[in-house]
Amino acid sequence: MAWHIVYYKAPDGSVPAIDFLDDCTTKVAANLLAVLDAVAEAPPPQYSGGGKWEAMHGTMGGYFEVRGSGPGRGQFRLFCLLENADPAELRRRGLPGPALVVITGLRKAWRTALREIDYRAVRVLGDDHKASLPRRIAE
Amino acid sequence: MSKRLDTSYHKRMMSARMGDPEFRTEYERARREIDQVDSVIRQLDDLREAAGLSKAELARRIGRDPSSIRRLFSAASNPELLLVASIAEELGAEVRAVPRTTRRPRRSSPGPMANHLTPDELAKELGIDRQEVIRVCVEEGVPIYQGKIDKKLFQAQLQAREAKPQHASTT
Repeated sequence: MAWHIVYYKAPDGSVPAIDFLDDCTTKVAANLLAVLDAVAEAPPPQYSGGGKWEAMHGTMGGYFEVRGSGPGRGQFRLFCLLENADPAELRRRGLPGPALVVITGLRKAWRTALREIDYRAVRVLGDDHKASLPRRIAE
Repeated sequence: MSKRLDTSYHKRMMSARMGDPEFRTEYERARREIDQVDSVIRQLDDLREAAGLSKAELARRIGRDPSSIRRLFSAASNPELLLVASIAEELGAEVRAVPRTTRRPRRSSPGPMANHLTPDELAKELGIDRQEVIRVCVEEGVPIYQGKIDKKLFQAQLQAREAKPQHASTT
């Protein structure tokens, strides 16, 4: 069964991932969204995402990133969390079923690494998401 | 009990974006590319299962760390072509890029691929075990393309296989 795809909404009402996607070129956004749909249709533990969906490690353990590239070899990343628990717990979170939560996105130049401060900013949003009951998502 | 959230935002957003022909074209191209990679990896995992190999055993046979195989089959890492090729070689398969001869039909519409079924669908339709379907494909060279099998070709191979005389024991 396909998972839901939902977008984290910040306390100020903004939706960071959508703001990021809106700033991407049409082609980059299409590629990132295609990965999300493929993963949601064949969710973990199945192989899915064509190699553009990767589990993150270290300080970003528990997060998954969607990887895309664009003009000037720019690298685009969407950071996601998975919401999968027993039905009662999902109901407590307000979710009708397992979901792939898109937290935010970041861009970096080719052959550069994102800084820990960038990842920390992602985790701040992710922590806010996980602390919210019910979850706060774009509706 | 929390209120039930409306999770339809993504579908509504995608529906709106699909109205842009440039977006739709790129999205469909990207999905084909993703589906092809996913299909190859899943086929290899099916072959691994059919061969009765654990992921750890497969890793040992190709001189890789077991975690690399676990990650590959669970989409937790970027597939490395050399690793994919090594696995295919060990399982008696090969990775090929086959030019499409016809335009790929849309998922929801019946077309030339309507006769192509997944191993699960074929097993159910023919009333045989899924592992048997995969075994026949491997042994008789019936291609599993994008996770699907040509039903007519499979049935023909199955009939030919059943018609073959049984080898007499040499012992």
